[in-house]
Amino acid sequence: MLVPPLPPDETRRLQVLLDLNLLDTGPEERFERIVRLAARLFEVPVAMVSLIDAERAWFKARVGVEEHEIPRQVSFCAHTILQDDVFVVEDARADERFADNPLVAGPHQVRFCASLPVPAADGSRIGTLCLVDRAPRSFSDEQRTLLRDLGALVAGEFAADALKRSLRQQRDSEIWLRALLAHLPESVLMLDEAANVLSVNPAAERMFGAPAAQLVGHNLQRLLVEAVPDLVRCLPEGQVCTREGTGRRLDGATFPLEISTSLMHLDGHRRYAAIARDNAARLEQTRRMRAAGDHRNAFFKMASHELRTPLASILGFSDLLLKREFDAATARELLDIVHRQATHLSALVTQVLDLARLEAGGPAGLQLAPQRIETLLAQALNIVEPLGQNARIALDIAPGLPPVAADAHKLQNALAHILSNSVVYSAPDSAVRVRAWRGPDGAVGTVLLQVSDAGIGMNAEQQANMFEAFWRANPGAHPESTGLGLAIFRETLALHNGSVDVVSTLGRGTDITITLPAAAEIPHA
Amino acid sequence: MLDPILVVDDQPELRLLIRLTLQTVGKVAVAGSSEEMFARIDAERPRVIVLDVSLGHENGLDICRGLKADAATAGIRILLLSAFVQETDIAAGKAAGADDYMAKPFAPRDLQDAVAALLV
Repeated sequence: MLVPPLPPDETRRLQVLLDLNLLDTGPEERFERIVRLAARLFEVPVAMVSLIDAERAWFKARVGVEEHEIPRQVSFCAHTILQDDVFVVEDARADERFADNPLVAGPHQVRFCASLPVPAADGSRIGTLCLVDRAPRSFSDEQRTLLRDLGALVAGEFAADALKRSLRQQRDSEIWLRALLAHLPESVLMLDEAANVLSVNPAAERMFGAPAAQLVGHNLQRLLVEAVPDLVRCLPEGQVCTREGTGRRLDGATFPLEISTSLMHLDGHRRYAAIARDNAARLEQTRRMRAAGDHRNAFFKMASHELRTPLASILGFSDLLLKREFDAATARELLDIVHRQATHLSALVTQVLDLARLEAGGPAGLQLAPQRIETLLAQALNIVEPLGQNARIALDIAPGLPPVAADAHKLQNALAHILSNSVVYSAPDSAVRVRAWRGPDGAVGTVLLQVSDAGIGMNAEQQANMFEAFWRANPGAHPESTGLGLAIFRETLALHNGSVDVVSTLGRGTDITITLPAAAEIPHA
Repeated sequence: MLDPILVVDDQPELRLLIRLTLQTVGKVAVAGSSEEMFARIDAERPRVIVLDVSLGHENGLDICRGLKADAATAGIRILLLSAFVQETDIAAGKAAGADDYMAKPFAPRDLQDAVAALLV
């Protein structure tokens, strides 16, 4: 028996057959009627539409045969798909290729077979229209023509299936694309060659604050405050042209805009896909990063200056002391300067590190716990005790204040900076009053702490700068000052979600009012 | 006869340090502000001024520019002394007309050499 060899395009042929989704489907009248017609026209007992799968010939439609499928190896039709045209075996028992085929030698008693390869739309011969008789026959040219006509009907059905399938795929992909565009956070606009808007997605409607109907038909330039040149420049397909401008919403509000356009050809027309992005957030982030960088650079420049200044004294005087002879009193005076400057340098290093640690640690660097304001103030007073000025500080704390959520160590240090600032610089000769009371916003709310003095006061410029690192109201007057205390205070307060308000009049005095959230307001306190 | 040198710095310790350092180079007078400086210039006729850049509220660079712009003082050599030590700071000092720029802290020997060079 001749086993049917595989056609050279077998892999592709099988894929086409599989994609057609006909294998193992139920009977369909459109195929049934063709095999019925064939059996009657050719007066054969058996006719079928056979699909040649990898291992089997499966019958999509059949008359006069019980089986749904037979092994490909014994199938006559597996030979047919190797042919270009009708394949005829007039008497199988007399044909050595088929005489010992089980279909011939066995109970089916096949003698005659005429079958036509039926191609799918792409030409792959996926099946056959096959006629079988149990007696030998001849097959005339006229009959061949008729079989070809019937085969064309089968091929037509195959093609119709393929078309339906491709339409369904196209519809699916359209639905998918439309859903994608609808849910895309980016604004997408389709433009013609003159930048007129042809369609927009919902994100574009939101961006320009206008329904599609009011955007379509207008030129994209009309959605911009100033025309942006070359919005639809004729770059080669696949290349993107990005422009920046200012967008205008229907309500007149404007926003920084970035538009990327790319050319595509649709149905012979040049079209542009435009993606529009609101640049406000990105620009703001860039600005903030640049400002933070500038701030940091300015801080380092000042820190370096402040550290070098006492070092100049320490190194210079010690160098002189080592190299020159001084009388005992002068030497002692110089050593005293070295010691004073070294002490100042040490305080400076400590506070630069304190500030850097606060900034680097952020709110996560705080160990928050409910703290009584009385305790924090008492600790702060302990810290400034060495100044010997505590007698001038009067406390007036309202009873029953809620605790504040505080990192006790950091906040009492910050308060000590404010207190020492008041007794040393702001009110060197007068009383300092510290009041604490519950904020006006009732039950949960805030605790207010006010440090008031009737001292020298500050002008507007001094008030604006008092919390800046290394800034001094009166340079030279207090060489022991690091210029960092109030910067540390402000940073600490900000980390505690607190705020500070300064009211000061030159020659009259200063009120510094600190607002701290009560502990109950902090969820994790 | 020692050459007159004027030291202008708002910090008394630095004035003392520079005065002691330059004693071997010239006759040193000191000033703590631009006002004192102008009085000293009239009195001492210094050939070199060692000028601090951050002079309290005053800016040493402005003072330097002013001295160089005034025909009466333009001939005085100026050495700016500052704890601002970045290249841009030094460039700004030179742009203000300074004859030399020295960083704080400084080695006393370097300051002596620099001032001596300006006196030649």
